[in-house]
Amino acid sequence: MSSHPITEDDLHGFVDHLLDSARRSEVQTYLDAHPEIAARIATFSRQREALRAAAAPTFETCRWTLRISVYRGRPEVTGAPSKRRF
Amino acid sequence: MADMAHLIEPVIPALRRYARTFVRGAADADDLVQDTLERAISRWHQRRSDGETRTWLFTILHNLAVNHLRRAARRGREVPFDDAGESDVAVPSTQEDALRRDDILGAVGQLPDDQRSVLLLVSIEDVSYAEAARILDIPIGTVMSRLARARARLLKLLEEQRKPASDRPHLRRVQ
Repeated sequence: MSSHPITEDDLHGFVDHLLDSARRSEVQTYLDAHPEIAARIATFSRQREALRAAAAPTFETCRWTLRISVYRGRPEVTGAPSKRRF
Repeated sequence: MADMAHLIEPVIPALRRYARTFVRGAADADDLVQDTLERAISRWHQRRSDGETRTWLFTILHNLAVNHLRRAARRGREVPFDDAGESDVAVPSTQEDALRRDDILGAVGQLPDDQRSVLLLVSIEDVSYAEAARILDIPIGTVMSRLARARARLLKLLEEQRKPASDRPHLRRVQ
């Protein structure tokens, strides 16, 4: 095991894929030895994936192009389904 | 000018997505992004460096969004978390998928604003903890504690949703 104890921050870093590979494998070893914590972390990972999937359709519609012709200092954004027009 | 468009344009999809998931009214969200772009262009010289463009744009958007929610709360109008209409969804999905999407976005909508912002930035926008701290202008330790609370609370909200309606406690809208 690592000389550094595994913290709650490490566990979230694990969920968010923000750990370097050495720390990641230390956390994995820790989770293998602590099934209850591993179950909670797996739930957070599923939650994260569900959120990303839920937001994905929104992402697909996001195709604005920015035309900075700067009419009186205002950006002209085309392709936006906005109710406001400049 | 070309540089400005070059740096801003790639961030627009993420800004729109964050606005829509944070305030949940598609029209309001797009207006917030429009305002963000206006502000970014008029204050372009104030940003720190090209590499910080995404952080800077998210900072502007987040501040505008928080003000928007505060104004809406003061007016006593309920913020329309649920009015993301079908036209917002480009990819056709089965009804079951749609339900699950509404469930999770609805539950996220019930999180306190400060927890919701951290969760969305980190989970959906792939923002690092340090960048989230800069966007929200809070210490990184606060990012971590809000993230932990957001995940625990979301878990509870989703568990409550799964219970039959008769067992369900009446949920108070946090907004």
